[in-house]
Amino acid sequence: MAAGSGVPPDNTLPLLQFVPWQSAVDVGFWQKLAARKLAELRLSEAEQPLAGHFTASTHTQLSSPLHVGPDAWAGGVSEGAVRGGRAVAPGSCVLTNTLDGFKQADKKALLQAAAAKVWAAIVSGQAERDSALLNRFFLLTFADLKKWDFVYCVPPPLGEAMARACLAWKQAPPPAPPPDAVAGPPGDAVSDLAARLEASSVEDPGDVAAASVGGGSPFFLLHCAEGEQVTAHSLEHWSALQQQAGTVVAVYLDPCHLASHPGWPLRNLLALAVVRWRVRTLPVLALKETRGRPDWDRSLATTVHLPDLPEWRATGAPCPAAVGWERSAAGALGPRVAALGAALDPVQLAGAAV
Amino acid sequence: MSLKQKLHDTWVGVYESVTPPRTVSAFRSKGVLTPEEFVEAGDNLVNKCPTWLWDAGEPEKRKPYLPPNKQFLITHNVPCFKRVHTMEEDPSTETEQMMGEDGEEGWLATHGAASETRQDEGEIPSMEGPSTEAPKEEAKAGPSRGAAEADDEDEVPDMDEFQDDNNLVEDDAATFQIPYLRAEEPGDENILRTRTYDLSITYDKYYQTPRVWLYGYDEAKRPLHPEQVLQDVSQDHARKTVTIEDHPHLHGKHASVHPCKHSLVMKKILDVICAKGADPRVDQYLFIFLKFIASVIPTIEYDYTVDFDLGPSKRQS
Repeated sequence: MAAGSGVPPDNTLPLLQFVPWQSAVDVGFWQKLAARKLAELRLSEAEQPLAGHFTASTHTQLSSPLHVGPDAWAGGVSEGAVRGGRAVAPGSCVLTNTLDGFKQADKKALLQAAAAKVWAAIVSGQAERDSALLNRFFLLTFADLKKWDFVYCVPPPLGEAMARACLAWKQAPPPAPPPDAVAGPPGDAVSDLAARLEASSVEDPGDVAAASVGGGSPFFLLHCAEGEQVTAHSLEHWSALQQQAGTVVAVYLDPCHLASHPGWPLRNLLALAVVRWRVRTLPVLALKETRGRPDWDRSLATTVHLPDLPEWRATGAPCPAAVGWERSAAGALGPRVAALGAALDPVQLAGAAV
Repeated sequence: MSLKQKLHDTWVGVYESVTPPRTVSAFRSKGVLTPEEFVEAGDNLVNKCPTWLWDAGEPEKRKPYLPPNKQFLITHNVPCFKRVHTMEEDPSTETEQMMGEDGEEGWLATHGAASETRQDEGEIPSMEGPSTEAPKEEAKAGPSRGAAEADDEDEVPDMDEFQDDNNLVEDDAATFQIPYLRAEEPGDENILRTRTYDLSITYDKYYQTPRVWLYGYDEAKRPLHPEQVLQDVSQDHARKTVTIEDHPHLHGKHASVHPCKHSLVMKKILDVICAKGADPRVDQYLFIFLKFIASVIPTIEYDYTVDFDLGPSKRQS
């Protein structure tokens, strides 16, 4: 893939590498899928809407997966299961009728088609109003209902061909001085963000985030105004906030636990920043949580340096090549199998009962 | 599931269907909860530990005596970095006893001392399980050597069968190539350990106590076979108090800590707390309850209640 094509490589800063997102498809989802296949979908191979959900990384050693559960068919959040840090990711599912159909499906084309939806949402500005659209995922599956084996591929949220973004995470060693072309040393704009948040008049910065994220928003903006006021805004207020004094930081729920690399969702946010906001640097805060509450100490702040991609901003620009197929346990880009006969097959259950 | 257990389940089902739920609070006198008290304690847990959520579960499995949107509590993606047997071999990791020496602590974790003899018993599934035996090979062989493998080798799908014809190739410089997370332990890197669990707490009408359910995933997020789940249960409890049963609100088999002794244990703990001069409230029931459950599943790190102090001075308000 032509990462950052058209931009002279900036060798003084490391290329930003995004940590792929793991999916967790649970047994309840497969059970619902089987029921729907038999009762409603039958032989239809049409794309079905889904919704997964996720939280920011909750544990220093563990990333949060994109969870596809039994409620995926009903919008991703079951009745009652609502809380501040949980965000919904829209998705879709193609269920093939035969194993051959699964094998021969043009996965590249399917992924590209799904990526085009994200791209369209970015270009049209829709993704700024509903930032969950940036986390769209796609699931291709075949269900063997005789053996209760489910074969599936989940490319979680599509990564746009976003690259040549450079990072200096808060805890990383100080980077080499940037060349003149890059405005300001990396991390400058947000280096003291954590301190400002702590010193801010907002009693609990978590409340600011929770107020915004409570609506299921996985991306939002924090505006650190003069006088140490910190307020949360949706992405569509970017240009309005630029007119005001202070720093604007793009915040996203980061499912990745690593302190050295950002999680996958940032990719599409950066694409949005290039296409819509036309910025060359973007202060970013990767929000993580501890015990269910935003954890500002674990959250990483950095300034990302973006390439200039005029071809992306042209009217009717085609969607860049998509990546993001989830790797199997073996590390290959192959399908994964959930063998759930022991858990779901009525015959096996009856056999185990005596 | 044994026939005896099946009969008992049937009896419980019939009993539950004809008896009304408990209405009179007996939290202090018997260690049990009414459905209303369960909701109250659950609300407090969700409030204090937001990783726990209320869930509505399957609509057709809803219990009328609980609010439709508060059928049970669930927390997802709880890490479990090591298997219980490695912990039991290492006396230094012995679980800290929560209470005074003089209490009756039949339920407390007794890791360390008792473990050597148990490892010889053939029926303990943990040591030679498929996931720890040759994980490297498993990883190479692909997802087909999955959770169901322990059961019947024949029915395990052959991965080549599913391999697609148009092999995907992605060469994206901006993708960080991360191996699946492994516990970092130099020299022992072959062992796959980072399992995650979905924990749920339901209200058991028959025993009138909360009940804990476990659903596990391996490091590649494939569902664990029930046998593998038992590796993460204290071996004193595996197959005795921890059984594999149908979840009352969800689909599939889950491992569950059987609630038949819960009220007795809770009563004892409450007595000890009261003897120390504290006055436990009913909305703290689940905090205490989870402490007790930690002795059964010592390696599963649902650690958000660790700072809950049972003493009167630091009681959570």
